Amino acid sequence: MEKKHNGWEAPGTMVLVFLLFFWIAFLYFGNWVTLSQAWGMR
Amino acid sequence: MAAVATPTVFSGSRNEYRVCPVTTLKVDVAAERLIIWNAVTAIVALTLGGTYALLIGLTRWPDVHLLSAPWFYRLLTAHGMNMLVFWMVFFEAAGLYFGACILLNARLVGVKLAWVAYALMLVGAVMVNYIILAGEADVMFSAYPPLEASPLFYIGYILFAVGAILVCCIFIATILVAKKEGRYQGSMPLAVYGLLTAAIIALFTLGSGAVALIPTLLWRLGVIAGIDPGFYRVTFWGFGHSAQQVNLSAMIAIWYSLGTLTVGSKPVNEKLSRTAFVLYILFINLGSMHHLLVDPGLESVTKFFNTSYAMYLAVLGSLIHAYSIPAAIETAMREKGYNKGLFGWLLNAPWKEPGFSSLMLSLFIFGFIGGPTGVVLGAGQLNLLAHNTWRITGHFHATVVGGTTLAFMGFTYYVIPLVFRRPLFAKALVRWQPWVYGAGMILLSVSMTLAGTFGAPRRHWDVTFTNAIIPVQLPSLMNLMLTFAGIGTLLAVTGGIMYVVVCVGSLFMPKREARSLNPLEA
Repeated sequence: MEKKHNGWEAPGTMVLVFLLFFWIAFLYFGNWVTLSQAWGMR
Repeated sequence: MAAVATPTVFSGSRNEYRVCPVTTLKVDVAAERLIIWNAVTAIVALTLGGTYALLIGLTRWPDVHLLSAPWFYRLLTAHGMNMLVFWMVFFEAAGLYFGACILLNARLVGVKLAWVAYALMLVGAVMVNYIILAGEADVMFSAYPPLEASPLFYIGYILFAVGAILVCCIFIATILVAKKEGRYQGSMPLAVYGLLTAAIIALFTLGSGAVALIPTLLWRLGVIAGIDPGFYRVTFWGFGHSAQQVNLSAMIAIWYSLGTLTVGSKPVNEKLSRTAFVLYILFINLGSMHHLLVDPGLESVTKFFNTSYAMYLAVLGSLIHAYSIPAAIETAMREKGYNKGLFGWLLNAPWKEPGFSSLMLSLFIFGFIGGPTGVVLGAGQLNLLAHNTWRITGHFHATVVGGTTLAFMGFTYYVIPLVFRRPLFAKALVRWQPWVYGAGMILLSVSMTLAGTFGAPRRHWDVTFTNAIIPVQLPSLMNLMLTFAGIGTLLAVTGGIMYVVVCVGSLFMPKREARSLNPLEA
């Protein structure tokens, strides 16, 4: 029978994936700031 | 080792087999020949594309500015075709035969047809290269009408695509026959499942390509009066971008394989990983919409739906893999006793092994540069800023090159000892190659992205507008980034040369069976 896993068996990867989420969020919001500047909203 | 026939195991088959002493897998010798020929041809295409890359990179470096404008656009067209299509698809053909026959212990169905497919692809690739270099197809990779190329360009393209469709059909038929003949039990291995995903996406991708290119050929032959450029753009990107999703699926299948080969990892949850592949089949094609976000021919509702809602389902698939693959590696390393702290498993990983370093660099470049920049560029409002800037080129050099090509290179180091049955040439080069290539691609893609952010257009011979009547003042940071991109090109090309030297050198090494799964000891 397949062993049941949960994410905490790989805590280092969990941290890396959280970093990835923050990085994507940073890229999004960083670009939104640029966009709003380009459109003269700030 | 001599090939061994195994009629008792594979009754009714006329195929000839050998048994790999390292993996104990049975290898269909006919499939093995096809794997070798397709892989060697892929490396020839990579060499051509890489040579063009060097010349293009040295032209976009403002202080060097090597090529004349016609040759810049000519070689840019050839670079795109060789790298995005010929290198990838020949290598994937080898990968599909490897997955269907070797991993499933199966016989290749339709061996003669597979050679016909190879011949069609080869003739198509040679024709396209010749026509472009002859100056008859300066139309870029996208070949948007009303730009005109020689009809032979489209014929070569279509011949190649027909060969690729045949490869996918042979792959699927081989899996079906293997199941029927009981060559494997239960679900197929995850890597083969990923390759099947790639083949399914390839079929509708190539179908979309046919819808774009066949009418264009008829227009160039004078059979029909004209072609709607808006219709072409939509259908072409159903091919052009989706072809990169084929590469994506194949790359992820190879990531899972390299994890298993290098540290013995097993997927933490196979069902989840398979679900992620299904999400690709259903939604990844929407990535094509990147190219159409500023297209005046499409209505806003189409753009909003594809970029704001449905695309996230495709990205979800990638995020599942982004977790599953490192988690599988971490779990395997922790089971080996590397439990210290959060990242002890990562610090003690086999970084000197080229398969592992290729896997992790590819994962990093794709995961932190290529993928996220693609997600950002896929948002309609942001795309308005970035469209047709060098940011786009920076994105896909971090996906297709830093991601897929690097993963394919790492996998090659296993294919040479196990399938070509030759030890690797110049093992010191092999150890460094993924690092040099990866560092070059990081520098190149980040520099392209930043130069694009400062306004550098893509596909442009001279962004400095030398000798223009009205002088153009470039932001100094953009100039710096253009220079960094040139240096990144030199570094990446050096890594590419190292790869080709190892592959070609290995072909001249004495033939012998592999002794170990580790390519440096095989």
